[in-house]
Amino acid sequence: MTTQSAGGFLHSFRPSRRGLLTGAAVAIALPLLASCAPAGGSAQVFGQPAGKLPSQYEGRRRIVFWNPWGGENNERILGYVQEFNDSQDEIYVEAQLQEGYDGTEQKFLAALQAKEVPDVIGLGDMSWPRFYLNDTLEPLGGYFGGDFTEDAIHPVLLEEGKVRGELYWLSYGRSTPLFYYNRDAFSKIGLPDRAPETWDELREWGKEINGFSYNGSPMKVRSYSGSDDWYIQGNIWSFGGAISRDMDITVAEAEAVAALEFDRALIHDDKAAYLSEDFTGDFATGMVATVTTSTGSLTGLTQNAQFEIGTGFLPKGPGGSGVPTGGGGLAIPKNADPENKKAAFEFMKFLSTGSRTIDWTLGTGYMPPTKEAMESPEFQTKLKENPNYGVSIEQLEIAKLPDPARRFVPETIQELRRVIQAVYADNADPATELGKAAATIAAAAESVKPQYDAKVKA
Amino acid sequence: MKRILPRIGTGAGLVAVALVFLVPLYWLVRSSLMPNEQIVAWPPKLIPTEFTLENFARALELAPFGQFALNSVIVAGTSTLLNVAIAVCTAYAFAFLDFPFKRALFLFMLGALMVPGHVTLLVNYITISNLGLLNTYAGLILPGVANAMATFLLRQHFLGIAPEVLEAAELDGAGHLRRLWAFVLPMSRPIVITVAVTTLIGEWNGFVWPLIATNTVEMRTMPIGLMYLRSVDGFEEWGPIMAGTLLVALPMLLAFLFAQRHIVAGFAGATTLRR
Repeated sequence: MTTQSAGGFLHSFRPSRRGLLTGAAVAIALPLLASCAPAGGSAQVFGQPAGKLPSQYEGRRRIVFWNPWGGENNERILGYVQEFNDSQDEIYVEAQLQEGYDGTEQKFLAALQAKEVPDVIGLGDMSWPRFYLNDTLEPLGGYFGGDFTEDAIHPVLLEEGKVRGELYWLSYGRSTPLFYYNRDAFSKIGLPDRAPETWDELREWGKEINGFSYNGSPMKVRSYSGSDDWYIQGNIWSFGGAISRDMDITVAEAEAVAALEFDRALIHDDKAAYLSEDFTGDFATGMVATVTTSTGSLTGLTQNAQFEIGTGFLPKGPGGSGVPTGGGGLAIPKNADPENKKAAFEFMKFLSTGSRTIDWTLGTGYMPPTKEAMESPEFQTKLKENPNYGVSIEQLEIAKLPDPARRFVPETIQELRRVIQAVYADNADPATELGKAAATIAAAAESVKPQYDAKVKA
Repeated sequence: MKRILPRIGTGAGLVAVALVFLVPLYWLVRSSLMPNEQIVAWPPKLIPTEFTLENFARALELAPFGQFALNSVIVAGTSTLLNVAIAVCTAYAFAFLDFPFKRALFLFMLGALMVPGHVTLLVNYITISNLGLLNTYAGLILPGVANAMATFLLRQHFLGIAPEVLEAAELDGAGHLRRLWAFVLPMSRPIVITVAVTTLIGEWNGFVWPLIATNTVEMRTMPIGLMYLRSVDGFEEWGPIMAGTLLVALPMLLAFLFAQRHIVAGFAGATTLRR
């Protein structure tokens, strides 16, 4: 993979060995996962990851929370955990940071093998469905009650954690991609102060943006991520295609190819965009005028960019709009101790209510998970100050879950990442690459299909 | 003129090669000392116009690097000692002792060199978990103490020691331990130091195993500390990340600089194999 940015050079210092870990653990652990699923009936009770109960919390029930949210967000989570531990005297929560969504997924796979699981775990939107398929997640519906019912959660976000009417994953730290643009550059170039309506309009505008001298250096239109296939999922929809319909792999069909061809042309024909190591960072530095990145970057971008940021819905394509939801949620492993599971849900409730939700939303840009948070005066004030915080919530109405293959067949994500890297970096032919990917994914989907048909398909 | 030109060429080549190694290091140090606006500024500033220690303060705020450093010292230090001790004894046996199935066992050990780390990852995890050693120093150290590469390097070097020396020692009544301690080791100093330093650096930088085998913040090691600085899908704060990276890399950089002379000698020695 070649990269074309100042950030690219920092690559060698990246502490993340995510690729390596993913490859290794997926290859080894997935075939074994099926064997550890409980054979129906009540689940076997597994052990709990080691840690310690500080003396001031002596006598309490200890709960282990595997937290995938690093950096500043970990600081926030630790604050809520402290608040929870001080708010009552029966439960002690110990948050253990894991390496992002992928790293947490791999570690959970290994933990299931070792029969030692946490009591609450933060899982990414594309990780939990496979744990559900293998019967490793606890149904959460029965835990609601009293002043905390399912009605408290935003209906779209609630629905996304459900399979066949039962909740397994409580949305937390959810996001959609947003279209971000550099308002300062747009005004200097003479473009309207809004996101483009369509991808074609973006390409038109791109001709004026490309090469524009911004702060003394020539600007490009966009930077792309080579390690996240979430964005191409949305684009494929907007061109009228899909990655899969149920377990039928449709990613090599003409519409999906057209979506990828659009990016290819913008990068290699127009020379107006490029694959970047830190694509969000490149937008913040003013190297590119627009970027599609997570709502979760909103606060960081707003604080770090030296210009005013505008946001809008993702542009439409010939197939209309295509907005995937993403981000994380909280789940309880089925094999955790039953009493721990109850305590774990108390903690999940604590995170999803009160001042924590508002602080989490404003601190990150993630969507507020509850109606309470969306309607809170703090959030409404922030909206008036900075309307960007409302865009993702409005966009949520047209957003939907990624296609089944991306959620249930792990090879889909690996293949799509390979394809976008080949196309973005090396100008590979989208049709050829997606054809190869479709064959690989279809083969993998075969083995998932029986479980999918039995447990998911409507 | 004829003599100067090639010299300039060699000099330029050397400078170019040196830059390949020095520029990333310079970039690391530079970025760790700059405020975030300057790090992300475009075009990049080669020389910071404003220095700050803020990034280090922030990195220490986000992750308890003091505790991590202590853990790393304990784990990497013990690991290295055990690694070298076991490798020296094993290599001595392979080089100087006669025992049944020696050849087969040696081939078996060479085979261990070819097994990639990820293949053993899950097996190690389950073993350590069954032993109840997850999240302990023992759990961090044990899976790595048998080092096939170190054993192989040491054995090759030991084979190069003139047999007459050891025969003379044996005639004078020196046992195996004495021969190892008083003759073989002093004659192999560079290679032993090389093995020790490369093992130390490898153990210090280990990421995947400590990530999997530890859970609590009290047991994490330095490289895992960097994970505490990265965000999931937010905006990356490169300043603290670079500052943290410098904290993690610096001790090994110093260790390497101090041991550098021996390492060069060690590798030079290892290439003159004799059977």
